[in-house]
Amino acid sequence: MKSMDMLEWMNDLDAKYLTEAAPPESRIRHRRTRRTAPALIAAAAAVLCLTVGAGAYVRRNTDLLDQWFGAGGEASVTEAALPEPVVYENEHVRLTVETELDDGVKHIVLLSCERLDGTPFDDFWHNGTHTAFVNEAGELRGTSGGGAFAFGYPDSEDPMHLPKYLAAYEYTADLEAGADHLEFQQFGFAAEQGQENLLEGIRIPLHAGKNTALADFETVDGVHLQLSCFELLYEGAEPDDPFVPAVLIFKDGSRKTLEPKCTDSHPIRDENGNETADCRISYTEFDYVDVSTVTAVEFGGVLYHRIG
Amino acid sequence: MDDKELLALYEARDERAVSETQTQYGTQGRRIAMRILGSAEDAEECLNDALLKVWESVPPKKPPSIAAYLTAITRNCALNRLKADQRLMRGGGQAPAVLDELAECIPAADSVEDEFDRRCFLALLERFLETLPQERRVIFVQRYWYFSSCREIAEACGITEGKVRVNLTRMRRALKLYLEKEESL
Repeated sequence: MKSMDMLEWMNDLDAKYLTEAAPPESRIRHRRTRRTAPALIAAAAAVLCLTVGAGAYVRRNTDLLDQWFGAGGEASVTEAALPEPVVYENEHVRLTVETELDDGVKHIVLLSCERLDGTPFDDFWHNGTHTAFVNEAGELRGTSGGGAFAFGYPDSEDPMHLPKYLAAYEYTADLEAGADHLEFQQFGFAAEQGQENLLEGIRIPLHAGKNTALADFETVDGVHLQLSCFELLYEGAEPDDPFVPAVLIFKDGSRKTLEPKCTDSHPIRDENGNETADCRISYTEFDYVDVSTVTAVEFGGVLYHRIG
Repeated sequence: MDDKELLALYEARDERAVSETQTQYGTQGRRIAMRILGSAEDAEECLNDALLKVWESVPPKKPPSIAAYLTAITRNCALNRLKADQRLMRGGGQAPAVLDELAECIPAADSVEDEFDRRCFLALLERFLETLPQERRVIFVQRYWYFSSCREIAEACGITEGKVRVNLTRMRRALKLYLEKEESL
């Protein structure tokens, strides 16, 4: 049983529960869709204060990297040459691109964000969020997953009942994404949280360059699979279940199951636009792996052996 | 127009039934589809598909609540579209967060997948819901059936978002224990 099954099966829930819980129309707040006029964007850009490099020394947030890559932080991603952090500011927030990874297909960015006035975020969570926080002792600590509970709340008995000064998250972008990708991605969520202006004017160009390897795996029939430290790429016929988990088999015989939380799929075309494969599916949002230690991948009941 | 009059229109094959249903009950279905898919255009298409299905199925069906019936069909359309489009990407409405949260409720036993069928799960879920106080039951259904955001639930129930989240956390844990316990019996 998977989450999607539960959601589907719930569809037949007795109507009495639905009637009882039906959100009353009159009490639901209708938000006006906010469209930022180009002139406003230009004005925001004009006041945008960028401290991009320019001699500004930004200390790497090692706690955050540890959290991102797992124990060992930067050192655990042996093939990665991590770019230095870069800071961007607008009138609301200071946003730090902590580091970036690029496997030649996708680009993943680790960001941290804090309000300039020092006030905590009301609700700065997002699916798949990796979150950093300052604890009572003023130390920066990180946590991950279950983004909805990442910050804790004053009336919460949740163990993550902590101050809410700093948010951190990662996002995955296609390589051709423009510098406004973050703004586009994040505005939908920020608007959802009633924080439309939070990242206004911030543009983040993707600039890591390929800095992490893709390892190749193949079945006896020649079906191909690729794995980087943050992405599993399947290329071939459309699977019946696009959310089928994959199992990584390591040199020491241990196994690790990847639950594909974030997928996208599209036909593969050659340079002339001809379709060469039904689909390519990218599975991301799993814990980072050292691909040099992976010998095989089990996917959809088929074993893919490492090649090359 | 009440449901009885609407049903009469459907039974008479009067096409005003569709427009009346859309006017009276379309908002809720559209909103759920929007929360699932994160796209107003797709949500509108789901609602239109659902209206057509209601038109095709009533009669012979006589749903006790046309609102619930339309909303359930719209929700189902949206979930099917979500799967088909493989839209489980960040920023795609409430669905990714809801799916992640519900993953916490899934019992750990490997055998569960084979043994749980739709009907069994529904029966257990409804029994579980009956064990909850009304306020919590409403929160659960609003989040996992209507895909409401925690903020919307908080506003509708007159409580803080924090309380909504805490309640949801506890209910997910309780549901997992409940399902595991029932499974072991």
